[in-house]
Amino acid sequence: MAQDIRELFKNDKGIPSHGLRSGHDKRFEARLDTHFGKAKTNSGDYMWLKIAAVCIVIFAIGSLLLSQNSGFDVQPDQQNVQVAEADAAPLHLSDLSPEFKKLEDYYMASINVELAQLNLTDNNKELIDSYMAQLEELNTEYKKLNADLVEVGVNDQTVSTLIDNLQLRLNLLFKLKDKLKDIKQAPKAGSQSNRI
Amino acid sequence: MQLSEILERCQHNDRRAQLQLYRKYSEGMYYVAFRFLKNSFEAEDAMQEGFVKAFAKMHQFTGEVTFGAWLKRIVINQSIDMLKAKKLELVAINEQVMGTVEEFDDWSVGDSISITQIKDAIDDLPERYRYAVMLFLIEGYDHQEISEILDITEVASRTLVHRGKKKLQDKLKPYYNGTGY
Repeated sequence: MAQDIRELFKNDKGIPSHGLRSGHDKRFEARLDTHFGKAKTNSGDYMWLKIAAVCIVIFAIGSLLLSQNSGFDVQPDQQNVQVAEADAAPLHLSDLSPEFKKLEDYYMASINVELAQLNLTDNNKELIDSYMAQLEELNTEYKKLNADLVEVGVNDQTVSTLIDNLQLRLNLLFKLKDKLKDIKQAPKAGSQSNRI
Repeated sequence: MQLSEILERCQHNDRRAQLQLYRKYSEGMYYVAFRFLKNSFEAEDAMQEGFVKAFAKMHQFTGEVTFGAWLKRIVINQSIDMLKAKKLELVAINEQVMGTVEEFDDWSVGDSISITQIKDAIDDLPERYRYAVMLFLIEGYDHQEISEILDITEVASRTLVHRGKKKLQDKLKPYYNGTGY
């Protein structure tokens, strides 16, 4: 009886003996850098201008939240800033690990850029507010985690939770952006479905 | 993390998500590229360039096929492009193929022949048949897909695959040991 080549190949699970050359992932990261720009944020004055502009917006939104929501506690924030400026104690993981600092900077910059692009109008105010509340929760969580880190010491779980926290924020903003786009496309009909 | 979530982040140029995808698929995609290029440097190049292209046009991924299949297609296109850059001659066949339907559908080889022998025989085929046969047999594409990948007509694809198969069967004849033939 003869065999069918097509069947032979369908059942073939063999892989070649020669694997990827070592260091391929490093070369890939370098390639990503050249194609999509550095993952770091300090890629020129323009970026810093953007970030500066964004900081102002955050302050504005922050004070807005403060006036509406008394649960927002400014006190620890100011303390953190002071400590970080004074370089006194390693309160943040970013002070301990330059790599994590890079990552944190990257996410913060991305988040800030997204925030800066938000257009607050009467139509979408409710939606944006609800997202901001979620972001605020994440921010509080983040501070708690950082405090844990100082108490308990660096461990994998906390670090990855910190990173996930940042990613979650960015994701929320992307989703918000998509929602806003939807609303823009259906300005009249969407006003009732703005609620989440 | 869900794959759909990773894909969404990749679309927004999230480096961590990109590297996550790379870790998941790089090895498989490397083997695909290697089958065509037969060189570890070029295969890595084609594989990584495929990823970069995929990330750049992530918005075009509709989810009609799996992400792996979509990525594989990009890597294969990249590999073929690199082969073409090395002056691969794919077209220019005016040979009329005469054959019955049974002949077209006859993919039989002798019992004693192993898949390794078949792969070696495919590697020995003239280039223009080799890639069409590989796309058909190993990668599992149909003639419409092959014609898109190789930028030839569907008829040409059928011709290349059919003639490649004939040559393959001829090459494998010496191993038959008289079983069934």
